[in-house]
Amino acid sequence: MKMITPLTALIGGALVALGTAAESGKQAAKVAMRDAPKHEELAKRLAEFENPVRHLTTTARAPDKREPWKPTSLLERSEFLSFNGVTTLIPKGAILHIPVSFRARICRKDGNRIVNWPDFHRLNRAWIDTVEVSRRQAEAEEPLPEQTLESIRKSPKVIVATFSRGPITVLKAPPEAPDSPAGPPPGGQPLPEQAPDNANISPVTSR
Amino acid sequence: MKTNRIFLLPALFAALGSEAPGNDDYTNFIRQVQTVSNAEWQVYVDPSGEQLSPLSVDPGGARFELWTVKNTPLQDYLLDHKYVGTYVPRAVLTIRSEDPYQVIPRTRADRPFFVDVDIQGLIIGDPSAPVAAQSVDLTHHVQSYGDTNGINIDRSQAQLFAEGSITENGVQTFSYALTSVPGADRAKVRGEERFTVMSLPDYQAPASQLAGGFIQIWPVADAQITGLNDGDFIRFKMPPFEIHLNDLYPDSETWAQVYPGSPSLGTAGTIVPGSAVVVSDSVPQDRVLRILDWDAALDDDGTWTLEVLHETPFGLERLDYVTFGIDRTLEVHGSVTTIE
Repeated sequence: MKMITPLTALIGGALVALGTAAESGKQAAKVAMRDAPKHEELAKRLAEFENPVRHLTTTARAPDKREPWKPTSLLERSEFLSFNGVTTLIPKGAILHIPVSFRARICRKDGNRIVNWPDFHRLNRAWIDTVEVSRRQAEAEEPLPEQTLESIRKSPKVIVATFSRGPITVLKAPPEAPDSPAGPPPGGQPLPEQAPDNANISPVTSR
Repeated sequence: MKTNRIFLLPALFAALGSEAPGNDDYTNFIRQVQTVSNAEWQVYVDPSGEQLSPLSVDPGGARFELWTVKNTPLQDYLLDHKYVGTYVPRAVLTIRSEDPYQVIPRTRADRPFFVDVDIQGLIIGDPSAPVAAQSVDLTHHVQSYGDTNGINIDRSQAQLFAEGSITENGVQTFSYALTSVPGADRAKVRGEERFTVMSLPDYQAPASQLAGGFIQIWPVADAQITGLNDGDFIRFKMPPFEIHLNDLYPDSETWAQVYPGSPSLGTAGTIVPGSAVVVSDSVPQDRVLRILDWDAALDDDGTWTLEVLHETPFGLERLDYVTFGIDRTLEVHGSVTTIE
């Protein structure tokens, strides 16, 4: 209950009413009111109070053992495609298929002009095709459709995996655990036989 | 579990324009490397400009590397790199009190307040997730204003009062029955309590503040009536008196009232003319009132009580009172005689 305050009393003429109440005196109205708290009361309340933040668990954090990233050479992490005096580089694992006839072009040739992938592809559509993959397919969370795999196997061209037209690594699905039930792996599937194991097929050498 | 997010690359691409060599000997590349899987995506970039990365960033984050490769001799140069995490949690912190003041949350030294912390984006139940994705820190600092109103205080001097980890998404409310701002007289503390939600430091990104807020704590008002004492007996004109008001709450009304009889908390009396003070401010106020000619408020002889009342968003309170007696009846004692 809010008591009539001086302002409202003055505006509403309640001052007179209050005066009248006092005049009758003996039957004064009651309002909700308390004495202002003092130090002793508050000190006692504070002593009994527990900070709720202190109830939170302070997680014992194992130090994150992962090392900060140290740059590794872009060239070491790339496949090279070279032809006709021009070379480009794309992420390792992006080449899904290399026909034997084009293996010699999957290499780095010093002295060639380095160009970006779109320029290189435009110049070499005759022997390079692309297959658009999804992020989940690239990260081996989802297999490539069997139909796609079949067409890759049969392609006479070099096949490069792209995502939004940019070359992208297509990871292999992790090997099944020995005690896992038989059946297809949960994500991804082996790439076609001719898909390069990057370390083997790419004749790229480190700087 | 993966989450799909789109990441904008304007800064990185802008860096390309300013840092990458511009002649034909160099070719520029951006690689987006998914931190957990190490899958790499290469995007062609113009020498300057910006574009959206269509490749979602994994929960473990992705690193964007800007490279340039020199033709002869073949040499690569890392121009810049940025780590982008998807798991940086989001937090909203709201402090509530009984005072509806909108500018800064505020309350009084004896009153409760509440801290609502809404956390979203934590990865729950995946021990392999980065530590910074699994919890955030909540810290609670307190700082006294001393005798000031906190203008230009050095907040780096605040005292860490409590801290803990929040490992759940959703809203948690922390209830505070009263303030913990340091001070010898608990009714007179003034200062602020600050709450901050921090992300944990990550191996690629430092800890950062996700949300924070503070509440100002103002002291409990007090008053002293001087010039009129408990037990005084007044025969004629009511004497002037003073009301010394200290630490009136920034949103308050204060006045004196009288009523017949002994002190009785909660009694509505007659307002003493000239005793009302209205404060609508951002900091507490002090006042000294001198009350004169207040006889009209007292219309009868007998015992009377004078009280100083203070109304705030927290209710109506009595700050001080005195009880005195009045006998203004003029009695003529005499006899009438005649001489015959």
